[in-house]
Amino acid sequence: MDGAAPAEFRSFQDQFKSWKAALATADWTPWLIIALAAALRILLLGIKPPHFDEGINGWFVDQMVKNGYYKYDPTNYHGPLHFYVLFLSQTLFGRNLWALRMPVVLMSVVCVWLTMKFEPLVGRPVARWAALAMAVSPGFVFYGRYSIHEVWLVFFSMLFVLGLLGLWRFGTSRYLWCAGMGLTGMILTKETYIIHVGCAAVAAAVCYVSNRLSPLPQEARPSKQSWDWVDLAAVIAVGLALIAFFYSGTFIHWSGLRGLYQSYAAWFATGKDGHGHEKPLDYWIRLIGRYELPILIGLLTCLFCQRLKNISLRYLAIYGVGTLIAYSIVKYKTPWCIISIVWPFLFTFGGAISLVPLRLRAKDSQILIAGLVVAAALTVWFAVEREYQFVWPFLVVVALPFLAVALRNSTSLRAMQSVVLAVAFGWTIWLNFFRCTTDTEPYVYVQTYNDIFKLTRPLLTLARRNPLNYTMTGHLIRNSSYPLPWILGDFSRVGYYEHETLPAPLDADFLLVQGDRIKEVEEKLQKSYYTEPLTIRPYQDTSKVYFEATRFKDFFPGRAPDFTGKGSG
Amino acid sequence: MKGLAAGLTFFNIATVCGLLLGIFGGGLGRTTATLSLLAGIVAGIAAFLQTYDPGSKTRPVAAAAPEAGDGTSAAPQKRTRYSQVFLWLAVAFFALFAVRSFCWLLYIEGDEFKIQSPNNLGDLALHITYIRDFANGTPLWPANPIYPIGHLRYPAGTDLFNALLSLVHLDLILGLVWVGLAASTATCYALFRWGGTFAIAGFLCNGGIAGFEFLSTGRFLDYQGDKTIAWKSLPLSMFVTQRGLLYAIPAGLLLLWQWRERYFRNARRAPLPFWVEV
Repeated sequence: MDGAAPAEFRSFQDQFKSWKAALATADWTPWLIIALAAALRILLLGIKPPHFDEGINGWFVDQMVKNGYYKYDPTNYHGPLHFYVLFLSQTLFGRNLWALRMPVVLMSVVCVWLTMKFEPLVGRPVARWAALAMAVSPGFVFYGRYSIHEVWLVFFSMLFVLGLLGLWRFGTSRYLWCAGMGLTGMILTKETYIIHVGCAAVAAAVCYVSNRLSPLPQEARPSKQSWDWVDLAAVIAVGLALIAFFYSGTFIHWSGLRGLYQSYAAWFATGKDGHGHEKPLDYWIRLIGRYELPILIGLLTCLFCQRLKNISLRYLAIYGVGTLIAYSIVKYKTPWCIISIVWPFLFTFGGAISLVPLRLRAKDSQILIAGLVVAAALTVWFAVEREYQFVWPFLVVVALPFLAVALRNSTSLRAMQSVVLAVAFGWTIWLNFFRCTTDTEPYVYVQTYNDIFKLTRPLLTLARRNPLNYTMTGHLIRNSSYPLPWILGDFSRVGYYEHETLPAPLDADFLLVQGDRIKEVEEKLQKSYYTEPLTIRPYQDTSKVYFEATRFKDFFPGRAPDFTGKGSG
Repeated sequence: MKGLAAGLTFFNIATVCGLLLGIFGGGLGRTTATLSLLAGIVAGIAAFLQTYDPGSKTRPVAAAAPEAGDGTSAAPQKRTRYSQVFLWLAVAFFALFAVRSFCWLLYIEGDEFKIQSPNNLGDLALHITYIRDFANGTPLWPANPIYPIGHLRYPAGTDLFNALLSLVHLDLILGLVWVGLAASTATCYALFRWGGTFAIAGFLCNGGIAGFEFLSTGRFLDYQGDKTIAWKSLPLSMFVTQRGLLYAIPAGLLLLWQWRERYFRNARRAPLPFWVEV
């Protein structure tokens, strides 16, 4: 051992030098983009209270702790993967909002990284502009800070398409794995994967026709495939094993596998009827017009699809428009779906540079101008006569000529793209840090109001002071009180009473009572309480929260109880 | 092996420091726990830097391969690409075992604390008593917390480490889960480096043919857990319940690996520095 020490010190120095050299030669641009994405997604992550769906997801995870697995319910039509990840996160980091949201935050950052993995297909500048646009996009940031399934679907659909394009372009087994695992991940995430798979297939056919009309260069032809049947068998075996593992509740609930097809009966009914989430046909365009200028530019770039000489970009443009149309037809629309629809337009936004210099033939220019005039007339007519109040038609009419002019010169295009990204960045800050619970923002949808802090802050403060307070008695007498069942999951004596039911005795340390049941409850209360009005979320009437006066008097200094029951005197 | 040596050294030095500081300070406190864990981190980093892993330079996966235009490996590697399939299967099953055993080790349902493994009902309660006793600042070496006379005679190093984590405000259940999963990772890797895929599979599947009852019932259960079968599953009956093994098995395998490299494979120098070996 005597001779070992000098060698070890030399080894450390060598290692340090190699790190230094690696840092000096590293390309920092991708890391800066990822750091920006991470900062926007992680900063003040707990600023908004848990969303209704987050509360339900958290509650499902609590059931997993009790049951030992996730019992897949086909009428819930959400795949099991997200719940297992949340379970692991909660088990490792505790039952708190950060632990609930962090897996999705990380996956959202990974999506930005994956965008840059399209580099061999679309080129480095395009991939990086697309990644930057995703990093600062108001929608990708907003829904990347929620613990919902959508970000998983974005990641796996991107992986799937990356695999398909990579197979076409390079034909290696690595891309076969990307496509296979992307498809598996989509199946494990959400039943809407069927839309993405269908659109990918249709886009391939349309791309073929597009190629016949405007032939792509020779190198756009499919590459020789270097994977074999063993690779394919391995991909299929792993995919099936993962699907069976998760849908069968880790081999405990085998009937969950039947849900793979049973879910579609419920899904088609919901998609057709809307179930309270019906939206107009142009809903997604309205959102894009309001928040996502880079994506609007990407969508407009698709108009020049036939001029795109890169097969991957042309395919992404067709696939993106196809997915947008498909999701527009479905009546059931929730705003977070936008991120799994629009990500291809990030690439067309970045790929607009490949159209420079755009030279339109006289006939094409005439058609474009005529189209703009008609569009402008229609826009004004709709705004004046039909009182159509959305901004996107105006934006399209203004942005399209700007884009057509900017496409003549790479400097002007880059300037335009930079301005657009700066606007998106501003929107992101404004939406995510100043108006994240403001219900007039269309992205803020069924979001829990900050009002629930009136109830949760005193309770959690008392519990932190003394864990015995987790045994406080609470009655939540109202319908649909999510996300409170998850937030109060550690409180072991909280009951939830919907419809006509009431607990006995009715007095408790705290109560939350639905507006139309206040009279009935107050007639039976015996103790004294501090009270506050509380609204959990939009489309719900205001409740009244009661805090038992003796226990909560520190939170209401100098204030007499607002309600005195019959037995208090 | 550098990571394994670092992790085990962190655990070891933190626990020993905790013990010594506890003895001199009349019991553990937040300051002693913080100091012990910091000492463990420093020692872990030193162990990482000073450990030499001859295997990492000769493993077949590190062999150079020609690259395709997109940066992916070309076809000649195909024959070796899936040669590790049994290893990954063994690792996957080990991960399933670890997650199932330690993520549900102890959980709360309503007013009740629940323990998943029937083997663990008595053991875990005792371990928690030790952890609480250490964390509450009992003078070290402590009196036996469950007998009226005598000192603690149990090798409670792992519990002392968990007490350190509790003292820096890591929740008790989270601490148990973290230590269990980290030890499982260390054990799986140490088994692989000692005996390859066969060692991992041997550890998981030991115990005869009782488990084949699964083929008739179709239910995943511990069929060796039956009282009439004396040959129990090593992971389920020992690794999960006897918390000392969480450290002892990977540490023992690390030492075996060190001695094998040193005395039988003529490594250029001893992989572990002497102070880590001790």
